[in-house]
Amino acid sequence: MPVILQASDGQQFPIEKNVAERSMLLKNMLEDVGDAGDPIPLPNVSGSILKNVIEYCEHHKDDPHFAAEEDKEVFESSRKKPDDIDEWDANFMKAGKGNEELFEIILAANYLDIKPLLDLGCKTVANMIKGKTPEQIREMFNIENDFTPEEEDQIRRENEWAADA
Amino acid sequence: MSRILTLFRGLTVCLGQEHFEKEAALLSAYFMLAERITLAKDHSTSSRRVLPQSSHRTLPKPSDTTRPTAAIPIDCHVLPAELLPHIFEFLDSASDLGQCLLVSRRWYRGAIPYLYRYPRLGSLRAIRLFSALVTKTEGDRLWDYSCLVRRIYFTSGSGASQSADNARGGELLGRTCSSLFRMLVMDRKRDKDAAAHSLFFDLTRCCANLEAIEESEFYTIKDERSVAAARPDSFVLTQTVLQNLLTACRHAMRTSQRLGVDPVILTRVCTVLLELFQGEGQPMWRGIERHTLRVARTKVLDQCRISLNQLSTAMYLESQYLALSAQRLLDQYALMYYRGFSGASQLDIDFVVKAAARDEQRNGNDVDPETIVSHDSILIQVLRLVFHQPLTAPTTLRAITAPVSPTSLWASLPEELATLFVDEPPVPSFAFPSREFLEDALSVFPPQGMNAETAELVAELLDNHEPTEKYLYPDHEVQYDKWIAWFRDIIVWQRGGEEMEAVKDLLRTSMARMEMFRGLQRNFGMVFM
Repeated sequence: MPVILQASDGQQFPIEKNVAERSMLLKNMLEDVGDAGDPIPLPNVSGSILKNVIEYCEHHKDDPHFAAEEDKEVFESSRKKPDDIDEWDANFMKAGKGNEELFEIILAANYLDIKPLLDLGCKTVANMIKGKTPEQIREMFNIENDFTPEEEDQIRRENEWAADA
Repeated sequence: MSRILTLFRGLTVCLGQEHFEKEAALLSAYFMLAERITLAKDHSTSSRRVLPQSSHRTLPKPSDTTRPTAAIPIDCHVLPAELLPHIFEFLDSASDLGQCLLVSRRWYRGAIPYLYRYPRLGSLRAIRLFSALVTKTEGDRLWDYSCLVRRIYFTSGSGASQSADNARGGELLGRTCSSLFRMLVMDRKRDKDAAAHSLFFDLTRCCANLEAIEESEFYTIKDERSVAAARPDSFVLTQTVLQNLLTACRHAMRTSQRLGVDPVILTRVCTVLLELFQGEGQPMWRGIERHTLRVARTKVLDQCRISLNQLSTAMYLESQYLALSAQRLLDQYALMYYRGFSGASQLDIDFVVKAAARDEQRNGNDVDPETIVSHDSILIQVLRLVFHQPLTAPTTLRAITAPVSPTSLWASLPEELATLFVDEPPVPSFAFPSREFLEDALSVFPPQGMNAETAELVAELLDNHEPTEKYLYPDHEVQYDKWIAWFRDIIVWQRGGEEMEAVKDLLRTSMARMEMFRGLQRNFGMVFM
């Protein structure tokens, strides 16, 4: 029996249960409430974004589930490598997605609690940042430089060691 | 000076009271006075390293970490702020995080904890900048960075940072050792009497949450397991020693903070106090009641023993660390030797002999040698350098001998003189390198003509010359590269030898330090190690 998701704009998406269970939020919801067959409203996710998210979940529906909450200490002290993205994922992220769409997918992944997609999105953004100057980063993400020149200068001086590391 | 001695007398009388309540403060006064004597001996009161804390400074609490010193207002933009931590989690290079800091205030606040949680210091410059930053007093910085530091990675460095160190001749060190060890080698003359390098004390003093210093590259935890399995035992051992060293320095640091004396100078301060209290018959103690003096003396000496014990522990551990790293370096050095040695046997001698002939021909064709730098001529030039043959021999010889043909020369000589030369026919200018010569020369490693100067000349030659000529045959390229690689190997080996000198020097300094502590034990009949 399919699960029906309803996006913020009212669009409905019937999907298989194991696809929906990629999202920890939906998985817990289905376990707690049971499957009543009613559409599940997702007021934070628009139809176009939800379509993308479902595409991702469809592709990964047979992946093994990661331990939901790894040992906190291990998690804390690990830093993840941004360069191990598989080909399908890389293409999925590239395929005609602007920054705004990318951010919305990440936010949706965050909201729906789909850890691998959240990681994938953040990795993609991290890779965009790599090797860029602050000015280029600002331009890329449309961020305003709100430092005073003095502040900027001091931050540059204090953290100079990082450029040399 | 006499005023200080009078003060000492006064302090002793007070401390001699059995149950004096401000004992800790008095002891601290002793040590600080002794510090002044030590510094006066140096005639360099001005050079005192300033300890920013008062003696009773409480260390900053971890809870302070989230509070920036300057309040920075929040802005809004397209990239949702709650995503920033997730993203910074994936940035594994310090330089990328360093760039993120400068994007905006929000990014600055977001990236700082990630950058300072596990700082990676790959060069001496980075270490110096970093330690200057964390030792700054809180008000002078935008953020209390030092509280965030949990684990410092002294990596062996890469790319730009390493080449900067290499310019000062750190090739072998750079490839084999961490930036920490390189730093200790470069600083070996500094703070001769300090129990350990002041960097260790500075880090333990300023970074309250520092758990470990690591020599490895930065690994994620998942990698760490597989890397640890593959890693040689010596690294694990080094890691343990570093961990203990950190603990020892922290102990020593606490004591010296309590006493209000810089740990770098504390050893000498203790020595001054031990001298003062050596025996009770010193003239300066005359007139003080015996019992009072004895009680005071016991208290001061106890404090000295504790301090010296902590300092010598740190000193021992640092020596152990140095010895382990030096051993690793020596292994690498030996490996380089064998590599150069076995590399020589795989070289194609005929190739060079033919190259020399080709080069000779080219020069014979009246081509200005300045305009065409061929692969062949570089090869021959370098060979001449390495085996100590005159650089410009063939062309000059030709210039001298060419106009006069040998026969005419003999003819022009008086007969008896000519017979003298008959056994010695003129050396043909293409005699170098002959096959026999090279076979002999290559069986010796390092080549006999090799010294620091030659190494630098060869390096310069290899770096600066961009051959303009195309390879005649594809095979030539392979052979040429083989020779050049071998030349590079021996340059590195030669330079490595010089670096080893610096390391030996460092080990000597550390032995001398150990000897100094032993001497203290002997001279003052005190056991603290």
